Amino acid sequence: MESLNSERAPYGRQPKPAERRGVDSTRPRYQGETYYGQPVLKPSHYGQLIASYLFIGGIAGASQIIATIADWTGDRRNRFITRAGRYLSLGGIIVAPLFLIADLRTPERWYNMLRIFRRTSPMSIGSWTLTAFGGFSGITALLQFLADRRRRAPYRRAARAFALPATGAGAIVATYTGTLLGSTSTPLWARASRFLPALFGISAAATSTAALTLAAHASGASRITARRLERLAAMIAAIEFLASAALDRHWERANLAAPLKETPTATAYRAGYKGLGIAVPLLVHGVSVATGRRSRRASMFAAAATLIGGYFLRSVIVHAGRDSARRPEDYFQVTEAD
Amino acid sequence: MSVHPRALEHTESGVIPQEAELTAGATIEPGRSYGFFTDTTLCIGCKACEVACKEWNELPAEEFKLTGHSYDNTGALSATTWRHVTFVEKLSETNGARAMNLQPFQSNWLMMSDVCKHCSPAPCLEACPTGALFRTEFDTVVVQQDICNGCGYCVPACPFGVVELNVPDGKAHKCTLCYDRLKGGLEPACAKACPTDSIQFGELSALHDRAHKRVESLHAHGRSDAYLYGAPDTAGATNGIDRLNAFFLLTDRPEVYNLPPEPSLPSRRVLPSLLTGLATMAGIAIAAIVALVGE
Repeated sequence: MESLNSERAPYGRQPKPAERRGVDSTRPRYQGETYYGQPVLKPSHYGQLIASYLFIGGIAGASQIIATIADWTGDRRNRFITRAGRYLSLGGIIVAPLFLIADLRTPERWYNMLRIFRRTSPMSIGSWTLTAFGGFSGITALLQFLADRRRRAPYRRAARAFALPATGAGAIVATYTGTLLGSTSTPLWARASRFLPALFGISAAATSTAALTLAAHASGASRITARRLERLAAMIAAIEFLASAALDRHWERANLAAPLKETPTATAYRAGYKGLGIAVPLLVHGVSVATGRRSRRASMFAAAATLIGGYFLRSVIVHAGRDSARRPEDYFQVTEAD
Repeated sequence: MSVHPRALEHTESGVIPQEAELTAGATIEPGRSYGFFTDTTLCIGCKACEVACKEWNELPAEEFKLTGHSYDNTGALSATTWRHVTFVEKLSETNGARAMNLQPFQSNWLMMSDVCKHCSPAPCLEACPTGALFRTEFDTVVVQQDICNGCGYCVPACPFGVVELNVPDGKAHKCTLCYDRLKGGLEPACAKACPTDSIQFGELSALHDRAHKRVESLHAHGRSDAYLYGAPDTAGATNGIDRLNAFFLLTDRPEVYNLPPEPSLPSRRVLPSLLTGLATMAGIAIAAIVALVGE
């Protein structure tokens, strides 16, 4: 009869409004009570379809950014990156929504996503951004095609103009998915609501660069193109290494990392994401950039590893989040999620 | 059993206008806020609320099984279970020994009829991209079944694990606070069926007054651990959630009843999160500028 005749102070002293901000220190501390260990939250149903969407959407969004940077900053030798980036964006944005629609439990009503706009809903923000991104990416890719066929400057300039809104939307497409997961009550995601869009964005850039690298090698683009892409890939791998380490530390400190340590999630996270997605490209591209010795085969291997690792990242975060939602003690200790 | 004189006026049709005035003392009018006050100290765990809810809303039975968790074989709220009675047996003394004395109040039992909180603001509604989830003229939160496309985003958004996707029909479902009954001037089925008035339906301001008085009265009787969960400025109404239109009187920590101690409004994280993402992509763009020029 703990609560009935024990000495400890009652929980429910009526707090004044000013005290509501933080944990009321006069209340007895949480001692791990749960209701038969039953989950408090319902886990999201997201699985491989959504993981695939996060992966492909990320590539599409980041490709538009890289294409635009290549267009504005580089010389003529960046034209391959611009062209391939714009086509890759269009390809991605045609495929990605199919995964989203397939994931709906009533897919024939997919168009209800465009029935209203709700700024509190990342799902609504994402639906409209994808629509705008698809439109601008389509026009940009069409103008790129015409510029390549007709070789006339007006087409190139028009493509450059339409690529700007596409790039802005692309930045949201590549990152809002982290916001989508972060703006839920699932402890693992909610507590990382500022980390996830950053990490997803970085991974989007890494996988997009990897896809462009494969395309460059496959279509026999110039050596300078390959060199520049490799330099970009090495820089992004270094950024991703730091960002993912920071997120790991954040989860560890919040005491929420347990779902990432269970098999098979742990293997997918460590070997799949950290190994293939970060360590391999960091080593291969890093050594290549540092020594100036380039191997086409090694570069393609690292690019393929980056793509596989990027998919593992999305899949692991989605599945570990579902496990996290089933752990009442993880949720109870999260008070004000950041 | 005596019949209310106003009921006798309508024996012909059997339908009493504003019947909730007779059963709950509440007049139901659009534009006012309604909710539930669930006083757990009055709950006897009869599950009449669960049954009444299933009956009125024509909800199918769940899988027939025993959970082994006291008398709670319902388990949790779900797409087809909108009231759920939790059973907490306080069986051991603080030193871990089995309790030998029956407590004079609530015996050794805690029971609570859980339900959708109809939060204000509501995380599920804020997350819904189709507008299927909306706030009704009675200040309750309802899923419009003809609009929901089963995206499932309301499910992880809910801080209480209430709303759920139903596999057979592919839509999200939860308590409607008997929207159809309110439209007809009827008290919600669970509250009407509750034999001890543990579940009380009414206009929110009236319920808040009644609940605060009940806490004061319990405190005066020595039950200093009684408190409200979900009324404005109490536990449960925290971090952007102003109030739960279905609120509770509890006598132990919220976690004991499977309620989060300090739920938060997920939409508060949207803007900081989006801006962090955009800042990251700006950084990536700078990296690309550095990488894509030069030999």
